[in-house]
Amino acid sequence: MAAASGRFVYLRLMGRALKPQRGESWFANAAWALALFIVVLAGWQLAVRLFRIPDIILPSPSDIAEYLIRRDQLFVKHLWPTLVQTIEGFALAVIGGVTLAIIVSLSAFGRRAIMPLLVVAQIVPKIAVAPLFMLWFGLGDLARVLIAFTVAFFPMVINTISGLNSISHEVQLLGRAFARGRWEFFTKIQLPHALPYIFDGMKVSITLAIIGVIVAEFVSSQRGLGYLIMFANGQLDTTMMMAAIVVLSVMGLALYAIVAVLARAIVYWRIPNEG
Amino acid sequence: MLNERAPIALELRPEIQLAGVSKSYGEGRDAIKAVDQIDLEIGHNQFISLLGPSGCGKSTLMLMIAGLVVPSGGVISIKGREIDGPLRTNGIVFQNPVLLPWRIVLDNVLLPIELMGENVNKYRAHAYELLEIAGIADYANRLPHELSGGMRQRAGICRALIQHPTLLLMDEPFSALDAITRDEMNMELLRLWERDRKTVVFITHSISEAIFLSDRVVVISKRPARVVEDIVVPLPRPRAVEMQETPQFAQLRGRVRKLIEH
Repeated sequence: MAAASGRFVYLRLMGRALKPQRGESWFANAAWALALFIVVLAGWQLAVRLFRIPDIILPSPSDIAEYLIRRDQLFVKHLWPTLVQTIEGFALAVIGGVTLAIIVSLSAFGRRAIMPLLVVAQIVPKIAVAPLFMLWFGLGDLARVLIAFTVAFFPMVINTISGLNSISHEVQLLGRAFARGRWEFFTKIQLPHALPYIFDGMKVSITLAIIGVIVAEFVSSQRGLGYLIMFANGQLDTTMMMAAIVVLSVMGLALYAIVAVLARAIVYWRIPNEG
Repeated sequence: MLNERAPIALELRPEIQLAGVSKSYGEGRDAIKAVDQIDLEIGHNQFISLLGPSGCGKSTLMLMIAGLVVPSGGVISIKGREIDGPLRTNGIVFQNPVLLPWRIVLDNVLLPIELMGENVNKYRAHAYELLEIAGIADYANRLPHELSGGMRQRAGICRALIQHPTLLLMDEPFSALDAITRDEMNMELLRLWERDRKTVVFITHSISEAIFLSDRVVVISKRPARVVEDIVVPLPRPRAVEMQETPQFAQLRGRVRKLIEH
């Protein structure tokens, strides 16, 4: 459970770090961040031109942008499979993770037998099993989706379990005093209480699912952004490689933003005792 | 004749009876005694305070009366029947109102009904009525975090009263509130209690609060909890805040304080 609360705290800290302090506004801060970003890009551009850094070492931002626009069809073609497999792996991780978490937190067998195994499995570097999955599930999409699932699965389970199990003592007493059965307590209290935790898990999970798919594409594939990066590497086409990384980053940002917006809409209440 | 008398005899029997009630945690030499051999009788419709220092085991005692903690020894009976679990005729108020943050105040008040699996619509009017009495009807559709601490505890009390309990158990319900709000809440609790006198067991570590509210103050010792003294409060009802300034009140307070210091 320590790992779970660790990740949880990490997310909370990130959230607090982004929170505007007294007298600041979110928009003003975003403007500052954007300004810094532009300065860095400009410095990069200038450095490449000034020191005549070759393309193969470091292409300039304008070169990358120009490449992206010129070959947009190439990126759309390779973005699509990566995006689809990420979403599939993520969806499986969310459904599977929440289901397993419910089993673990509701049954004595789950708590005694499954939970220790989960904790141990946390330690295994999930990426290391990617070649094994290729062996088992072939070189098609299925293996890549399953690798993404494996990587994204654990934060979902662990976060959901800590949500389901962190009901305050008093609320547990209320449940014991009045709940007709386990089901009423679960649906009226435990599950809604766990929702913020589930969404925190999803925020971690979505970024991990992307990593899973990309690594799987590194190992073996004929398309996808991971494949494109490896291909560009083979061609010594650094501009293409960096353009692919840009597309990948934008994809990751967009997926994260969707989860975050969803979380805000569904978890409409304020979490008590935050911090 | 006998048949007619029977109900009266029943009325005179104490509502709650504790006989030799003990509670220990742990086993063998490491066992910690929280409650030690408590005998106590609480009459029907009585307002009784259990007064003792923090952490003395009085909360454990309350949870045992609520049927939520099983005593290690002794017997607790309510209305002549030995209890073996929580009764639905109990209302419970905690120190922290623990409202569910995703439910509006009205739905928080209705929570016990929902948990019991009963028809919520039948209790909606009653919930509004309780919120009205508690003076927070305007906040019925607000989320808990939009309410002040005092208002939240009022909602917590409404929740405890929703299923028409005959026994109200309150565990330091106002100790997290500031002194001014606390006085206010004490007055309102009494007003509420005067409307339909229920049996109330009120846990507190404030001497004045215990005397001001109760018919009886049971002074509890430091851990393990034992009954030090059982004091009848002779103040008339309805109580008024000014009574706290009378010599009678001061004398009573002095007496209780001495008992606690021992």
